[in-house]
Amino acid sequence: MKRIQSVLTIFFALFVALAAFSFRAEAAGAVFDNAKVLSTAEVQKLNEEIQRIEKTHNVRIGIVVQPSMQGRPIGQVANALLDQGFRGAPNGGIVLLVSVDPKKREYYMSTDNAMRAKITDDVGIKYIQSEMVPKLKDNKYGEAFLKYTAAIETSLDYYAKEGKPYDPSAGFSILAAIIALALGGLGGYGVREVLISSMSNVTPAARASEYLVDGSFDLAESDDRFLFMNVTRTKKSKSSGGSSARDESHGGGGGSF
Amino acid sequence: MADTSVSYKCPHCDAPLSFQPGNDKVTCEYCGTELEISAVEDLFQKKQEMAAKAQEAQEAKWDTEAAGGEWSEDEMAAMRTFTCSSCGAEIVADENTMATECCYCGNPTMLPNRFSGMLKPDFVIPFKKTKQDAVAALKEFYKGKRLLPNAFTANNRVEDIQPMYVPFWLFDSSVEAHAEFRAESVNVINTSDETITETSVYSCTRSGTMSFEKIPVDGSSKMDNDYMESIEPFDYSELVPFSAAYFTGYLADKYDEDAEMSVPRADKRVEASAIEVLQDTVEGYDNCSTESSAVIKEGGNVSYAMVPVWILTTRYNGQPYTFMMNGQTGKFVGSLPYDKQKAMMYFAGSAAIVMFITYFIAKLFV
Repeated sequence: MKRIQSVLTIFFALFVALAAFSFRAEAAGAVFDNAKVLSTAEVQKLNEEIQRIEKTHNVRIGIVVQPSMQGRPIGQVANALLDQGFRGAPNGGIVLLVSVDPKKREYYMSTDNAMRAKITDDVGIKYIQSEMVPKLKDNKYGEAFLKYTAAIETSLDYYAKEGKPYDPSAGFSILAAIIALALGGLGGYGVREVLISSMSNVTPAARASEYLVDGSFDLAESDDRFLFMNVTRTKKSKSSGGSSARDESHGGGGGSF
Repeated sequence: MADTSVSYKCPHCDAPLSFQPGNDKVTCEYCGTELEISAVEDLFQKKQEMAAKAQEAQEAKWDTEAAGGEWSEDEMAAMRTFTCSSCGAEIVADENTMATECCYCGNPTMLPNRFSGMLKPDFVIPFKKTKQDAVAALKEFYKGKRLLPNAFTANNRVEDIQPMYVPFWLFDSSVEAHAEFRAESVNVINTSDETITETSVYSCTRSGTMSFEKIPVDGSSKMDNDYMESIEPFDYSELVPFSAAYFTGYLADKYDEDAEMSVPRADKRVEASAIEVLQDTVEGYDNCSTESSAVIKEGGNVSYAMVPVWILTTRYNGQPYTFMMNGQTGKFVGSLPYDKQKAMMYFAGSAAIVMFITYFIAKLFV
């Protein structure tokens, strides 16, 4: 049994490596649009943007778009892509793999350990997801990938300046402040109303239950009849950030869109 | 108010229902709900019975004639009525009582007149609580009132407390109650793709009899009904046959709302409680609401009693404030003024604390 498992593992690793090689061989640069979802201008703009960030921060950044994963696990393939073409820069590397297969639209970002220290799995990757995924959902791939590069640049700039990973929740949030203001106002009003109502204990009596003679109640009729049944069905929303192929030398995260 | 007529409506959407010849089910044309014909017949037969009972309930009356008795000449000679020249309140006291302030408005001028006709009470609950008890209860009532103006307690005249016997009608009632409830049982099934919520709707019919004893309703229009209901309950084990001797040294209010006028308040409370008792028997469901009901009085005796109440009137910023204490049990009720500046400070302080906490919580999610 163990032998069969070992053979299968070797075959799988070989398959993933070949797949990664095929991605690499198809085009040059940082953006590999094998699904033809980007215009030439968009590819050129993204390549320029990525080159500028790579030069500034000594990192490697990649974007690969595939028409389908053909059943292959996207996280594993993204890790292999990273190892084959985007690892080795002094400050780390990151690659985004997107599959636009209508049956399963998914993406995965793979990072090496140097990049993982700057863009953490729990906070940094989620920040990039929050910036990029809404555009992916709208099929605006060019804008989505610009958001991806901009979020990476923001994270790297912050790390270079502060020496710690970027956490969007660490800064001042206007939205959180508005929510806090509204809830604070409601809370304050509630406390005020409770205190004002405590100034009076005058309450009219709506019932006469205290004057019900003990043991006087005699239930003469009790009849329950089924009338009908209402059935409502609510579709469960599918998680957009599920899959993970993290291991000792790979970070990142992904999901569907 | 219970319905006294019935129309055939879908129990799901309230649209009119009509039988289709040849079918073994009735289908609502509006919402598609299917109902067994036997279920519909049974449901609406019960509604018709309920409507008939509601009609019967409307016609039932209390025996208010039996409440109270006639005064003897000796008793009448010992009584005086006082009319407050400021607020018009009518107060009854024994011949030795000289009130110096109206217990309602605090007006110091009162002129005694000869007592004239009113029913003699059947019962009286003697005072058990003293003036010292009332003063202590008032001080206790102030405690913990964070918005109480400082000037209110500083200038308070706690000595202006009057003991008064207040006229109450006590309603005894045996009732036959009928009600139809709509009950729902909810079953939630979770599959990998969806959440299925099955809500089964039932019609639950309940009927029963029960008795209520001595539901108190005050017979004085000068006494605030909410205050009088708030000082309940009274311990009726200490109810004694009336004697004018109990009035000695106390004020007594004269009823100006007779038993007949007080009936609607008693009826309303009896009906609410009777339906509640029936509803408590509808068990095993997730939700239950009343569809229709009828409460029929089978017996309705009324007695007339004087109950002890301590009344405090005081003034703050030109406004009168009245507090009352049950003279038997010591239950103290009242409404205090509040300091608007203090209220604003508590609003601002608590709003700031809530804002501070919620900002950091909100940041985790936005």
